[in-house]
Parts: sequence; structure tokens; C-alpha cells
Amino acid sequence: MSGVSVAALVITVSFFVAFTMIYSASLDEQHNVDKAREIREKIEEGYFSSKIRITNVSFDGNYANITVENIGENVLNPYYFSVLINGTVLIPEKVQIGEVESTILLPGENATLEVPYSELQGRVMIVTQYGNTAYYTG
Amino acid sequence: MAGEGVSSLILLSASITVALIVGAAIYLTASSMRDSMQNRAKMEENYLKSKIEIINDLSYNPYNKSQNTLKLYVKNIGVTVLHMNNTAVVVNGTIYPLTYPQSIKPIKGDAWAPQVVVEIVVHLNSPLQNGDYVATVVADYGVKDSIQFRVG
Repeated sequence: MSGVSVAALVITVSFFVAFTMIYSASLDEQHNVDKAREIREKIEEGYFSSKIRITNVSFDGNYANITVENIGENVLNPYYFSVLINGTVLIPEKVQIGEVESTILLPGENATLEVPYSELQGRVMIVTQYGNTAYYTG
Repeated sequence: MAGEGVSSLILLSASITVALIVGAAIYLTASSMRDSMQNRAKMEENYLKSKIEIINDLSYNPYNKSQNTLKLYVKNIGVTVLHMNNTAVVVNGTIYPLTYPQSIKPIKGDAWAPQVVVEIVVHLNSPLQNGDYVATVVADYGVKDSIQFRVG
């Protein structure tokens, strides 16, 4: 085998290895980006198909009890709800769906959030895990 | 005859050496391209999986005139953990880098995980005059959200 043939073989193999390396990497990365795009679409779809309504708020001087109804099409997790009263974010101490503490709020169901709050009135805002908002002034 | 054999051997060695050098260069270039592609894809992937939303109740002005501070609540509604020290607020053309826990801290816990709200308090360089403003929060991977507010 002549030197030129060996050199041509080495260069051809190098090109083949390089092509395989780039091609397989591009396939892997395309797969990962596609998966990320699916997650993004789920977040966007979640926003557009979710809706909540605050149906009742009561204040007893220690807590604000907020009842939220899921009026959208998605299952929501009320533990992921953010509660703002008079513009300040507060953390619920208890989240109940019916009589039980649950992370699953089905469409049509109500969740009750018990939030420490010392005033007897206030404007309430709830934000879901997808960013949907609902307001209540009482 | 012997001289011809030696010269052929030298030619063969030289050809193989040049081929190996070219091959190594091709391999290194391909590796570099693959790494760049992977980095770019990782950035794109993280950007797609991350999302933030400013959740201030707009009935309350986020700007405190007497303290010259801007208070924002930002919720991580994506699926990645965001790094608070990589976050900045842009107000009126000025960038305010944020530092945990001085100017940015989670309402609960100690990480900006998915669904966690952070409280951002920015002390502005100079008081805002009466008018309309936009505050933009920029977090990891370039995800951002803006809020409009009025002073005066």
C-alpha cells in the first residue's frame, strides 16, 4: 500500500469519525431541545386552559380563609398557589379540598386556603402554578 | 535499490505523519463543534424550561417613594431552579444586579425552585420623577418579565 493510500485512508476515517461525532451529538441535542419545547408548550397550554375564581373570603382577625374554585380544564395543585393580601405575599398554613388536605384540585372543585392575617378586611389575589390570577376585594 | 527503499520509507512516513496531523485537526475541530453545539442546545433547553412571572398586585404601587425602593414579587413558573445571584432588575435604563439575601430572597425556603416566589427589593440610585416606568426582571438563561407602574 502506498503512502498516499494510507494517508487517504487515515483522512477518510478522520472525516467519518468527525461526521459521526457531530451527527450523533446533533441528534441527542435535538432530542433534548424537543423535550424542553414540549415542557414549554405544557406550561403555555397550562396557562391558557387554567382558570380560577375566588368564591369567598372570610377574615377572623387571625386568619383569612379563602375559597378558590377551579373553573378551568386543568388539574391544579393548590399548594403551588401564591396568595397576596393587600399586595403582600403570604404563605397559607393549611390547604384543604373538602375535608382533606390534598394537592389535587380537579376542575369544578373548591379549595380552602387558611392564611395567617390579622386584619378584618383586605384585597386578595391568588396566582396559580401557571400564572393565572384571581382577585377578591372584601 | 537500497536507496530507493529508504526514500519510499521516508515518503510513506511523511505521508502518514501528514495524514495523522490532518486527522487530528479534523477530530479537534469536530470536538469543538460538538461542544459548541451541546452548549448552545443546553442554553436553549434551559431557556425553554424556565419561565418567571412578576405577580405584584397592581393595585399597590411597587415603588416606595419615601424609601426610594422598588419591591417586586417574582414567581418561578418554569421547571428549572433559578440562581438568585444571576438575576437583575432593569429600571429606567439602569441595571441593578441582585444579591441573595440582601436584595432577593425566597418567601419560603432558601432556593428559587419551581413555584417559589422571591421578594426583590431594589434601592434605586436616584428617586424616580413622576411618570410611567417599566421594571424588567431578568433571570437565569435570559428569561424575563416586565411590569409597568406609575409614579405620582
